[in-house]
Amino acid sequence: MSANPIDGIRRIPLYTFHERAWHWVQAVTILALLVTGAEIHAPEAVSIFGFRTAVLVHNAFAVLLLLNAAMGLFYFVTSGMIRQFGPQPRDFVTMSLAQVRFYAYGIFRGEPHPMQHDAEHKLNPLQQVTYLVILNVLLPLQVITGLLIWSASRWPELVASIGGLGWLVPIHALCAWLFLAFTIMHLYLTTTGETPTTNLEAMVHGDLKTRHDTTTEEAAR
Amino acid sequence: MRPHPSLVLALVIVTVVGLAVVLVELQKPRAPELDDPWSQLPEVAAHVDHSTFFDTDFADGPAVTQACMECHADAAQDFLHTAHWTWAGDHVETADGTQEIGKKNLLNNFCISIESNWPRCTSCHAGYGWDDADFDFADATKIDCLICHDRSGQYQKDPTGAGRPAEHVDLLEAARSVGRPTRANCGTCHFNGGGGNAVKHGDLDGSMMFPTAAIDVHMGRHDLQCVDCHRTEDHDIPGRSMSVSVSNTKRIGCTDCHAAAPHRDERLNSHVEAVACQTCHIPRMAPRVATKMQWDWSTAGEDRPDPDPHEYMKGKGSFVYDTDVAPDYAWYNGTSDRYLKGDPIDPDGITAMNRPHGDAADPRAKIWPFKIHRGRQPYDAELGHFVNPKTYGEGGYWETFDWDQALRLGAEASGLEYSGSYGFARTEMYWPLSHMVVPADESLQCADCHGDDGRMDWPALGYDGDPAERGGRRRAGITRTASSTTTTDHQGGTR
Amino acid sequence: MKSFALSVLVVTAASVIAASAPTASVIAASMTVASAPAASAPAAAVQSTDDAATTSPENPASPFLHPGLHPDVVLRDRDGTPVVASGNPVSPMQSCNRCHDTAWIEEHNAHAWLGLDEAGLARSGRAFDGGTGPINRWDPITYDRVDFDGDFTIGIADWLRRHGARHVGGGFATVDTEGRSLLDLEAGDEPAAFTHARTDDGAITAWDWNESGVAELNCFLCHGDDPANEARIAELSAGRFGTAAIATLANTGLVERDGEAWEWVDALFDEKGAVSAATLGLRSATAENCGQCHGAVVTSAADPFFVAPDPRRRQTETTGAIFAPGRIARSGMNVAGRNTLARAWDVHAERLVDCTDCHASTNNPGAYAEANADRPDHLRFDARRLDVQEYLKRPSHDLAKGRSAQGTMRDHLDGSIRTCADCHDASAAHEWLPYRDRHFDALECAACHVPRSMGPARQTTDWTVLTTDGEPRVLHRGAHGDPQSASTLLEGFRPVLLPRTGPDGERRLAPHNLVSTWYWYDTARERPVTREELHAAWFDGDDVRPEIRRVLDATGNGTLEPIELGLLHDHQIEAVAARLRATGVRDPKIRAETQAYRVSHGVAGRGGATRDCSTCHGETSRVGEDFVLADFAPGGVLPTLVGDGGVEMPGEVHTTSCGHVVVTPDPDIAGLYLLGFSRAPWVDRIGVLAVLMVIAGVVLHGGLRVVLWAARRQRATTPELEPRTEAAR
Repeated sequence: MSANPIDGIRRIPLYTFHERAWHWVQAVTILALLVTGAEIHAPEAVSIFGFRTAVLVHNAFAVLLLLNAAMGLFYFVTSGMIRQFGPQPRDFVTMSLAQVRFYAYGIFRGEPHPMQHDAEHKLNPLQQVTYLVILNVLLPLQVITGLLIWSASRWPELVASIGGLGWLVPIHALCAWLFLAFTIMHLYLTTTGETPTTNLEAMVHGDLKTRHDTTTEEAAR
Repeated sequence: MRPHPSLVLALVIVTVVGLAVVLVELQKPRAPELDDPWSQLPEVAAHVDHSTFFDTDFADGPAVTQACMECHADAAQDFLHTAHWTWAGDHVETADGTQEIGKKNLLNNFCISIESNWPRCTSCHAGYGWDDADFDFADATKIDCLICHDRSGQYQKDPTGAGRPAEHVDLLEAARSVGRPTRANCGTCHFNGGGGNAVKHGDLDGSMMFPTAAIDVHMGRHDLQCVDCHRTEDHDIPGRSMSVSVSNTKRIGCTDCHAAAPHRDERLNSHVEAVACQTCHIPRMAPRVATKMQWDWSTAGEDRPDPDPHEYMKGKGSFVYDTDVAPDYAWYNGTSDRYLKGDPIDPDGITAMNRPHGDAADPRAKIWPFKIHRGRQPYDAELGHFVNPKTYGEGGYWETFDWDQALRLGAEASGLEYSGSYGFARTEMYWPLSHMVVPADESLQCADCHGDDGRMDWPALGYDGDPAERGGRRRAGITRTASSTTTTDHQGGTR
Repeated sequence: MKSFALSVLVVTAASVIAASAPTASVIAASMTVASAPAASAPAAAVQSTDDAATTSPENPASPFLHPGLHPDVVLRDRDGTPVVASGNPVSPMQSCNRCHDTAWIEEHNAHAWLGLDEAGLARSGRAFDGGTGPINRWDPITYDRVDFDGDFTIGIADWLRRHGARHVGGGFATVDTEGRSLLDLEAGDEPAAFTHARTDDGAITAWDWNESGVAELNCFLCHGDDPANEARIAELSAGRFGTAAIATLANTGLVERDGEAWEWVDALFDEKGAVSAATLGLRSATAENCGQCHGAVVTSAADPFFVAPDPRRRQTETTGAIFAPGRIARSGMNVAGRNTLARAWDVHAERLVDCTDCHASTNNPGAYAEANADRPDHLRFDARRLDVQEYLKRPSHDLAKGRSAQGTMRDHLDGSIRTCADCHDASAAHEWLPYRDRHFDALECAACHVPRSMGPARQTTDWTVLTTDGEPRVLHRGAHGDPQSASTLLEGFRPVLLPRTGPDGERRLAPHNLVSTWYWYDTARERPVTREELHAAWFDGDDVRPEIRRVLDATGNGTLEPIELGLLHDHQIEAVAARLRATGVRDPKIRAETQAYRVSHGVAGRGGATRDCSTCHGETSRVGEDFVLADFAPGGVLPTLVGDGGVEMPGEVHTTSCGHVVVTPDPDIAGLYLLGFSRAPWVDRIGVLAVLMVIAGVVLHGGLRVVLWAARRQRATTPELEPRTEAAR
């Protein structure tokens, strides 16, 4: 798997092209939705596009997000990569604790990551749990409430029958806030690799650059 | 060679964003094609500063012209063929064959005719020295370049000098100042037709020198010059005056710059088929300076105590002036009739000096706004045709107040027969309005024409009643549906 | 994998190319100019001002009405005798009934009966409302109320004298509630309202209808092209009801005034006593006719008109709407920013749509169409209808109506009016609007298409005080100063959007003006204090009673200025209450009510309608904007909404810090959620908290990392002072 290193740096293929494409499209659309959604939510506080344009752009990116999420799901399922997201019960607690210890203590001392990442093992257990919630609870909730808000125009009786915009919009807005919080956290946590840009580069180029000797550590695992 | 994956990734992002743009645009409605008149304005050549080209004073007008011709000889030759020089242009078929008509030889119901009165009338000729019938129209040195091209502002013609410049004019300064003609150049003659400011046209007067937007939106708000619409090539200035022309060629029109149906409102666009742009967009004439609406020559010659020159002048008769006048409306398809010298008249009726062609049934005709100038002028009581009087100069009416003599001298000059007995008959003359366009917010509204208080006389225009209730001329079956053949000339302009 | 990427790329690249092409590449709606040639036609048809003018005394206004089909009319008096013979005033009922069934018309004419022919209780919830129409439903603007069941307040004769200007005659002006002719009544007959009236000094006396005559249904008022309304009003005010109709003909030249009497000009009648329809100026009612009572109507686009507030022109008074075709910039009204207001006062007036085009007669064969609910599913349109002749014989004068605060009569005709959707296809013109259907569900058309009402509209009527003229204190909206003066600047006002259940049962936001009234209420007799009682309490002869003047004259100059009229303090309230008790009012209390008037006229077309999203979607949304009800609350009483027009006023009526009484509508209560305006505050609080916590965590964690990393780096580059291993020692 690992080629002969040059300068002591190994390149471990981590993310496929499609994973990266899906990730960045997701990032761009979520960013656009957050910004335009902010303008719809508080037009005086955020006045960049004008209300009408913000609505149109929000709708456009919502469609793209939906398509991207659907395509992403399809890809992960058919390629089997969806396994990445499932926590392994066998080592879950041990590895979680190790990860927590790393974030709370080890990282300040410059210790290496407790987990070696490769194409088969991309997410640490904490990440797995987080993404499980994000992708299976928060995102669907956001998308469904968004769809229902949109359909208030086309199928007003449907929306009225489930309670109307009065609670759909606040839920949608709350999820948006949580997505914003997550995004900030996510951006920060990407800097917790070997170097602050290791993970970013990996998500752009696809390879994880590491100085560690993977052969001995593979045996140790 | 495979592109770098990161580059491909970037392209993916870009296409997604592009998709978003597409989706946004798809949500927007189809925007109607907007009128873009600014893109149609003529390109103006760079100004060439002539101030260093001349250093010696000029003896007279032709001397200047000769200096101009040193470089602009072909321009001079071109000019010789144009109507501003020849004061003629249209050819009409008469019983005696083809006649070339124009201001040179037509009668109107203002000062009637230039024949026998040349030195006074030709003070507005773009040439020098048209004193009599023998003016040499082939002599290019007689062209007055300065009347149109002077930018010094002090160039003036002697009002009775047959086109020669006035005494005080500094020809050298004028020559040095030449450039693209402005409203002042055109207006010095065209605003003062009929003998004074605002007398003749109704839509051209001194207020157009520096108009406000409320007077004329093109020349006021946007400071367009006459030549921006009357785009001239080879000195052939386009535009049609129904007073001296009858044909539909060399026209300019609103659609030279504006879309044919430029309104956002469909209902307004549906008027374009039967209503000329001018009708709604020129709701009044003479908003600032009074224009002459009636001229009765028959009352001339009386010694009234201190008459108001806007009501009576001994040499001319009595007048009616008016400001802010609502136009008269008539169908006009671009061609018209013209009273020619010698044509018989019905002395008890009203002779139309120029009647527009067209009616409700003519699909090429549209409703236009007109100033109709009404008057009484001398005619030969025996022979039954109008006679032109000599008014200016020796033996003219303005000296002798003798109609018989004036008419005899005038008839001599114009070639008409004069029996010696005269009378006065009524005339009317149509002057279509195309200037003093108001801003869109001031244009006519529905109730200005339709409804009980409207200004249109529907039966007179050939409708059964108000087309807002009964449908337009197509629905009412008034217009003939002719088979379509393309025409080269139409009222829409040169496009 | 690679091919997958490639295919995605191809598809999306194609889309990008499509996106960058101008998407506004579309089919211009251009009308092709006729270019088919034709041979030159015969003599041009031209209109010359020399020709016989279209307007002359013989041919008024439109030349197409005269001569029309209408035959000559023999004008007859009440007995059926031609007036040229008897010299008596004309009776429209007897003159017009040779062809039109005038009795039937009178029966089917809400204008004549004003609700008195409807056996129905008022829906207003006010105990003192006897019915549904202006005659027996208390109208705070006119104040007078005829009580048919209880105590005598004023008589029908009084009502006609004071408010007959807005009554077309007929109905209760000719017969009583039992159907007996007023001319046959005797002093003892009940109800007293018909047989008695008040004298000028307030005493109740019998009214002799045979002397005054009765005001018949006045066809000429609505069906004449130049009715002499002022002359008619003068006759009614003077109590000469029988001559109201003949006075209406004053402008036709058929009558001449001789002192107080009216003389017929015999020369204009033929030998049978008939006159031509042209002389009478007979025509279908136009907006001009309706405007005599309903609101300010202008017919010419070039008219530089000025309208002052006039309670007689009720629509304009209560909504500020002016039905004029000209541009606001072109009128004589001193409207703020008028130079920029190129739109017409009312787009329908501009487009020559008339009142009866929407408010048509309900059996007019040209206008009639069944309601959707009544029509079988398989029919889009039922073409079978009344013959024109039958219609002309019995044209219903129950006109099509919507459902508004004023229109509480003829409930069964609610929604019969031609509404916006009956003529307009809104979807075609609103493609630019996101969530268009949602907007159409939540808003009435007028919510955006009557963005501002520019005429002076009434805001407050304070009947707790009286001016020196004996009138209430009246305030108008949007006028900087006295709106009676042409130089007063008018701002107009933005109508408040209130939820209204329309005749179709749908609840939408509609623009309204709110007119609030403060008045004295007789708690014991459960009715507003009468004008007579109020007058008696306030004035002693022509002067204000000293007890009242004392408590209100703040400047102490002996007269009451308009600014001083206001019952703010307890002692002021008590002073007036005491005087009221002295006149016989047992328990006077100040009450306040707000009436909502839907603004339906003054419609803006494309050029003036609301297009800016931020008008509603934003913090300063007009949907939640304060709407002023009064400059202060007399007696500290806050008004409640009179709710029989199907309107709600969700929100709080309260006093602002400067004393103004305002209502702050709350769309939440109405069940509406507006993006950008409505908020669930807990969402934002949780959200901000979450984000702030994350940021705090990031800063702390990251900061600590940076600091410790820098320290490690420092240690690594500093040389060791002691050997590290044991071996080195």
